[in-house]
Amino acid sequence: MNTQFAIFVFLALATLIGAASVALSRNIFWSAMGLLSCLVGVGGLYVMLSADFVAITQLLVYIGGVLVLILFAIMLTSQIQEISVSNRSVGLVGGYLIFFVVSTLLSFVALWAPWRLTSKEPVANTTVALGDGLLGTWLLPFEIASVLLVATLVGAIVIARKEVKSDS
Amino acid sequence: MPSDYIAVTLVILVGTVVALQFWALAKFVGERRPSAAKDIAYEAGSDPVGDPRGRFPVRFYPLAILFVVFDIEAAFLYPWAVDFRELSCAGPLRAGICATGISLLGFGAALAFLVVLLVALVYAWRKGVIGWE
Amino acid sequence: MRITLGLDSTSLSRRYPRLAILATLFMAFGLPLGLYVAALAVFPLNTPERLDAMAEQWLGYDLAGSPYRYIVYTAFLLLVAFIAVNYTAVFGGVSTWVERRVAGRMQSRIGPNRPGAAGFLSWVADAVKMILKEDTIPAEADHLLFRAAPYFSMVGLLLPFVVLPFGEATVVTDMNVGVFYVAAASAFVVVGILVSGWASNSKWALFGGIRGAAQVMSYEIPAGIAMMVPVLMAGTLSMQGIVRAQGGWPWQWFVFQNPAAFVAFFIAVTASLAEGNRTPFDLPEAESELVAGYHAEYSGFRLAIFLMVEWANMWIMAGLAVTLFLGGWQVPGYGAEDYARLLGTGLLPAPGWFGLQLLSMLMFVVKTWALVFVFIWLRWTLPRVRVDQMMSLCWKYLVPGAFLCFVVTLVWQLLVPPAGVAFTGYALTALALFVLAKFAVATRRNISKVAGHRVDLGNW
Repeated sequence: MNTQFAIFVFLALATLIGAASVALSRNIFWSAMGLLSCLVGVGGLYVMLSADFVAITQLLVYIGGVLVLILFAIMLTSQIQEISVSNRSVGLVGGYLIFFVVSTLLSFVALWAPWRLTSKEPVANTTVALGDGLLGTWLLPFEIASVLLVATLVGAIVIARKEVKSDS
Repeated sequence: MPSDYIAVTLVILVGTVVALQFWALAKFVGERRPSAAKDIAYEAGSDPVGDPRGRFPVRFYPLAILFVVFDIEAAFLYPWAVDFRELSCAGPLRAGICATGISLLGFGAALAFLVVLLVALVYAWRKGVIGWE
Repeated sequence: MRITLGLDSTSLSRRYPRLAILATLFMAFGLPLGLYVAALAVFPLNTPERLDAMAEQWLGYDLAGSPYRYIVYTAFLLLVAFIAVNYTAVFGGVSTWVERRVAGRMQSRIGPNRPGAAGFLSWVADAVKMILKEDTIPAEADHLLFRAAPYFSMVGLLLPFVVLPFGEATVVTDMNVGVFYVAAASAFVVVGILVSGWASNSKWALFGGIRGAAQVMSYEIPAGIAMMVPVLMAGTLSMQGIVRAQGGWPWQWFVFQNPAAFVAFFIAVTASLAEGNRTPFDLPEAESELVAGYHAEYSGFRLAIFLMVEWANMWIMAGLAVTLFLGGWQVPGYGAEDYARLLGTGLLPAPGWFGLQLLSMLMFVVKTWALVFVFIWLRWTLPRVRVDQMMSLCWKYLVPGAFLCFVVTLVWQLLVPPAGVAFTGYALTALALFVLAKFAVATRRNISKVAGHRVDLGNW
């Protein structure tokens, strides 16, 4: 039990330190590396919860997809000086305000939610259970997810094409 | 099942130790004679011109989005692929073969998911994201 | 300081030719064989339950109730991991030698032939040279990330290795989500390429990095969908489960069991060539355009790690294709019940069991090397494709093709009875044999046009 706790602490620290360095690092590429540590840590926590399929999805979608997308975006936007940024950041006071409101809310949720503690054996094959769930109870969200994905793609293409046109 | 991931961690650990042992060997056996000229990034034999981290063509960005979209789609399809026989048959399976007809809910829903994403691929294709025309 | 290691022709091997041959034979057969025997001895013990039983019976020690249970188990896993990592490193080395010799043959030259018999030890000499070389880091580079990037690549290489089944009982660990895990593992390769490209702070490296990342992630999609076809056929994501659903004879392999799987096999192999940056898809490190791409600034042992990853990756790609489509370790004529019968119920299996295990490992290794040879052959035959060709091949042909294979397999699995599957197996095997025979005849004819009737293999 102690080893398990030690592993949990290690993973939680990796997640938290990663998250902190995303927010605090001055170098945007290092922020992305912090995100990597954060995502790997969360993936490890999923493994500890016996959710192996979700853990691998974390690896596939978040590290293979989202993180790489962010790295691409960093490379695409580096050295931009001549363009004035249209949306200003909220500033120190506003930032602290948002931080305190959100963190208080999250702490309340974490403390007061009726967490279901289970001592059952881990699900033997989470993949089959997920497949049944996606095509059964959660069929509509499953289908809507595909539409959402298409909307993402269309949006990205429209924005990027505008850029290309104004360049040439 | 977490034991699987202990194995994964250990293989990564041993791999890192092997790589570090290369590093140690190189540090203690190899020669190091650093010089200013050696430490310049290679460009064409002459001094580098301008900043190497220039901006990239934006066309890489829709490509990355396209990848993320299909990546997520694959993550959705895998659980269905494992269990598709039970999900997509209207009646019980007989020796792995569906004799009672294909269920529209299981089979058709997954196909609809696929078709919507293929529409996305066709759209990207028509807009010239893929061929870079 | 000059270090003479005696691996060059002027010293040891010239003076003691027998010694050179002995050393070569030892390295060529002793090392892999030793690794295989070690794997065979350790891998089957690699479950907590079996370790408990062993300690109970041989030492009379109740390991199951002991607080040291997980320490003992972890130590065993460490041994397994050590064997696996060594195997990767040795394979990465040996395949560079094979590649250079085969390339030599294909270009009518000899290739490396000095260190050891037939130049076999040249990979050891290369490794030693790489380690002795100066390890330079550009002054403008991000030092920490520059140093870290090869390790990302290394992790991306080692992750799929964990679930690759070498034999019936020889696998580091057989995960429930095996295939999905393999599809996800290349994430670290992409991150490694991008980080090395960015950290080098050099134009070539940055271009190579962004090109490499775009290529690897694009080809992940057709590879992932093509890999779903065996999953549909076996109904499981576990690698061992997929191999168990196939048989030893070619017509029992998934590749010949339905026409869509046949196409999916070629899509998967093409996509994995591109994921491994092998020619004709070596654009990220195209030496005539980008110097060396994302590892242009790397030297010494860091470059050695990148190169080892590249060659060992080739073997893993071939191993995956063999596992998913070509029957994996299945030995013709032996089924699951034979393994169970020879394993028996006792603690130590019958000697015949170890024989059968070695045979199954041999099947896997022979098939994998054959596929690796095809990869090498392609590299020295095909020219490099252009960037736009690479992209349109992926998204316009392979992705829709893979989707089509997926849908056809779905319908096939639901509607075609076992007799139809068996018939397809025989028919497609016959077709493949026919094509191979035609190819062999045509090759023979072409060779005899140039070299007369005698095919000369003398200078190998």
